[in-house]
Amino acid sequence: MIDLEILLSGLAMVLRWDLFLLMGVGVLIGAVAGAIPGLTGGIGIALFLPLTFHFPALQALVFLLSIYTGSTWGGAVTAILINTPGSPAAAATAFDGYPLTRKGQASRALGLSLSASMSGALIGALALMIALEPLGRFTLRLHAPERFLIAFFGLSIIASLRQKNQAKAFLAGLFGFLLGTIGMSPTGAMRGTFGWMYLLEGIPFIPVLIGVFVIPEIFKLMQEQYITEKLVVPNHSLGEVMKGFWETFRHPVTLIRSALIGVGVGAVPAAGSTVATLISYNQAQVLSSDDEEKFGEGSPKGIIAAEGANSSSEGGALATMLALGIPGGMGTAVLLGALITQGWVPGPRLIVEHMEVIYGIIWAQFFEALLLLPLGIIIAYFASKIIFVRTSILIPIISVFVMAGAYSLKYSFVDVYLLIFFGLVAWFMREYDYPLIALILGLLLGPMADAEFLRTYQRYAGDFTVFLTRPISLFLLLLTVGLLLYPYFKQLRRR
Amino acid sequence: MRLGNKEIKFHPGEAVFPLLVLLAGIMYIYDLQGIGSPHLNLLLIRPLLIVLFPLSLYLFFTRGFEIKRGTGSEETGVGVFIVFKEWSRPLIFILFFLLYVYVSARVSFLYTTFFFVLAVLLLLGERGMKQLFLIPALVSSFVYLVFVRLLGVLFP
Repeated sequence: MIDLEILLSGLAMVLRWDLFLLMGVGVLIGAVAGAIPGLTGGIGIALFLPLTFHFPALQALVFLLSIYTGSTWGGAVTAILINTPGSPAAAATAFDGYPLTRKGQASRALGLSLSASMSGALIGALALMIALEPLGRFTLRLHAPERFLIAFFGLSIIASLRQKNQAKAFLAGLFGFLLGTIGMSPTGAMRGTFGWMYLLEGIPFIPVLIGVFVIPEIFKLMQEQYITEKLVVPNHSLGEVMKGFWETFRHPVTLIRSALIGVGVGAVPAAGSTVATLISYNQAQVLSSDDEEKFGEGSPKGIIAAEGANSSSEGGALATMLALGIPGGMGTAVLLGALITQGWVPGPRLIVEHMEVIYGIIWAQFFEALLLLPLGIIIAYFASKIIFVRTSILIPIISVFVMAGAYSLKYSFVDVYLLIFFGLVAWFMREYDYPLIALILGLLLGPMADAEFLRTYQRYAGDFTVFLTRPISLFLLLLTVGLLLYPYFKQLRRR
Repeated sequence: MRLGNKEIKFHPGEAVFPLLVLLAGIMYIYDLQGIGSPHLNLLLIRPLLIVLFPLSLYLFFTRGFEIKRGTGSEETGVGVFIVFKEWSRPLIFILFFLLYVYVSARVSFLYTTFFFVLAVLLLLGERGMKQLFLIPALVSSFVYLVFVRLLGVLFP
């Protein structure tokens, strides 16, 4: 139950001009960092972490969280404008955002993403406020079988990616899965590394992701003079951004459902916002009626589902991080570091001992989400001018940023070579209709599935009936089977 | 290629990805030789590879080769050249990119950036003197400001 007195004193703590200034600066930094391919919110937070060492706990956490909030939306800007997700979580936004840009409706797409992101962040913060304590208790009950099934559930999305070329989708997903298992196994054995220490921790995800999304896009842009098929000047306006902004609220079911998926998946350790957006996007696609604008061709519901889940997952991830000390993704991992730096010990005791500050942070999340509106409109308006730049000028600029972003992760040029290699692989894949997202899903969820399956085997002495006997496992299993069979059921019903 | 009254057509592009997956799988298995506790370390890898190999072979043969009955056009081999002609610009770009990374690591990232941007602009058909010098200079300066000054990234 929420203690109203502590809740209000938490609010009083954040109603200060210096905190609002930090929030504004943080959201701006986050949006810019999120928009630069290769610089995710996590990296943005990590880069500014040293700056907060001299701040009091509340200021430090509010500032870093603002960067996080800004970055969740920032990734959508480049995903929509140049089909280059600034962050992994924005990958699903590109599916429908970029087709809208190509139709000359970039401003509308940016407006849609902005309002979905803002609403998602508000719902996420509200959910965090209400569910912090019960969610903490629930996630404690998730063990290896459930965590494996969560990864398996994410992987099952591959089945619904391509109804016509399912064999290709599966091959791409399995290849990603295989790549994801490269590195040190959970028992400490080296797999697929050929003794190369660079691969000890596995194939670095960020350079692969940048390569997979950016390089094929660069090749595609080479064949055109401008990003858009036709330059539609009247659509490129602040009015169009606002039109897109309000359009989101005409799809309340998609918005609320995606926000709830985001909160739920975001709360699951290691699942993160990328998985949340993909599940949400898939659900919106599966549950959409046939007469609607097709997903993948500029559907507003696609953008809402992706961005709503992306921003709300922050609330879920924060709940798990604060309650259990388990980060949901890279961003929360860095935030966890910031908490520890402040001398706090994350876990159930943190909530008891610092409840007032925790509520202060949650209130700050509300204000950050609201600040996203004016700041986002400014960023969206100026960013959408990019469509008037010739591709011959854009390509070298993107290439340099991609190279600098990939290098700056670990100061390693090997990462850049890896980016180029996977970019070429992705180019072939896209040319011959292999879904890139299947590769990414496999790469992302493969290690989690592998580790949790092994833990289940060890913990339950090879007895896999545990998936059926544990209630949460059984529920997740049925959910996965349902997701796998639903498209076929839908097809049968149509006949 | 012709076999009796059947014509077999090879699609090199379609064959590339299944072949790559197959190759990666073989290399992976080769590296697993002598791995400790295989019942644990290969618990999920084994079924994965069991599915991966037949699937990649299936796609290699079904998509990489097309069998047509009856008389068909003569195989000229021109198709492969057309494919390479289409790929020439991206391949040159990739060569530039590789050279850019290689030289950056040894000389200076910022100076190399200037010449890389200039080379790509020329490759993509920019001929205006203003663009050819202004854009590389602006990009290099912007990268320096954002990455070096603002984010403190250390480039060679």
